[in-house]
Amino acid sequence: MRSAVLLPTVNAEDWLTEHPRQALVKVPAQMAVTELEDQIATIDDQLNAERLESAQAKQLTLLQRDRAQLVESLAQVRYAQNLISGMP
Amino acid sequence: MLKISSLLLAGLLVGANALAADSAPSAPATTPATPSTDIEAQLAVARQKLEAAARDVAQLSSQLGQSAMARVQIMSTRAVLGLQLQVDPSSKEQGATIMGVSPGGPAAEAGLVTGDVIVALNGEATTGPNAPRQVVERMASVKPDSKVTVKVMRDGKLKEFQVTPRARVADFFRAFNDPGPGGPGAPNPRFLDAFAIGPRDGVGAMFDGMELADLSPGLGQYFGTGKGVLVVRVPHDGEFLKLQDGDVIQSIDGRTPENSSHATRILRSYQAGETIHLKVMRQKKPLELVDTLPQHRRAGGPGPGPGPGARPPGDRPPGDPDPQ
Repeated sequence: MRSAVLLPTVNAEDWLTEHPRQALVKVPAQMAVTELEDQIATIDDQLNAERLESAQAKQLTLLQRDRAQLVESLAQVRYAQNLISGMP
Repeated sequence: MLKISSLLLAGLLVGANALAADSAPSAPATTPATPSTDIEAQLAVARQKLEAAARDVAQLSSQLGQSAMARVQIMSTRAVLGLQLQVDPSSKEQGATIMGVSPGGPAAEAGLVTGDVIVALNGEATTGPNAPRQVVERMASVKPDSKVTVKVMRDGKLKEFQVTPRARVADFFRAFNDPGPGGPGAPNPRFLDAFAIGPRDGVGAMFDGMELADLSPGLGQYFGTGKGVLVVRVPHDGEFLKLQDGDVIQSIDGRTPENSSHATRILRSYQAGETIHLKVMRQKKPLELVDTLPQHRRAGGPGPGPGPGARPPGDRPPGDPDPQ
């Protein structure tokens, strides 16, 4: 179901899906997490628009690359959050 | 998972090696095991290093994200669902197929998953090869923080979900688009401060040390309220907002936090100089707290202050831009 360009982030996305956010959050760290989440959601929205309006391969590739990096970072930050709280 | 683990493990090993080097034993190898208090202290230091590394990752990634947002040019929607739709004119699906959900996004939080086929949005059918376009076009008139009913086909069965779309980050960027002291192209410290991931002397620093927890039904009964988020630890600056451990935040300037992450999103949207009004439940009694985020000062000079286009304090129409 996923496109080939999404493959590099599959592991990170799977991990994020399997590990929902914790009920207890440290506010500064969670602010960073929500910022990354919102950026990813915005890029996904833009990808929808690009595919519908122009589907320029270069633009899609750049957005997918940005998304992959943000997802990877989000997973790392969330993983660190879990480690710090003793729930990896 | 393996990639994340290996990257972080590498970082941890570096940290552990550094710790080992810092605390190289001078006693013979036959010395009894390190007292647990020492190990606990080392663990605390390691966790601090890990937290700092995670903050660095978040900050650098966010700066990268700012570059990515420059590519967000087609403003087709104002509120995002947090999903990617399959665009295939030859598709035989009777709706818009979700080919991916944004981690932590509105769709994911509502329970939508990859492979779901959206057949209706707010009661209006989305059908045929134009279904993805119908979804996108209908979202153009949806405001952040409003409820959207999404009906999907999953495993041959119809399911309905309530999704709360959020404002696009680009909306935030418009609010913060005046160049900072670093000039055009440099990360805007006002933006970073607002998101609490920049240098720790900004607005975000006011929330340092603060911990929030979701209010489960059991906790709600104990604290005398069924809604809000529990303050587990107040910010290090105990004077700020004058919160107390055990307070339940029920609303932030009229917005009800659905969980601790949502509360964080709301708090993240404030700028220096803006006033925060909280309604809290303390010892089962309602209470209102008001405080103003200080105009911060940076080392080496005055803070950037309100730039052109910045909202005046308090000028925040509910939901626009909304931190949902």
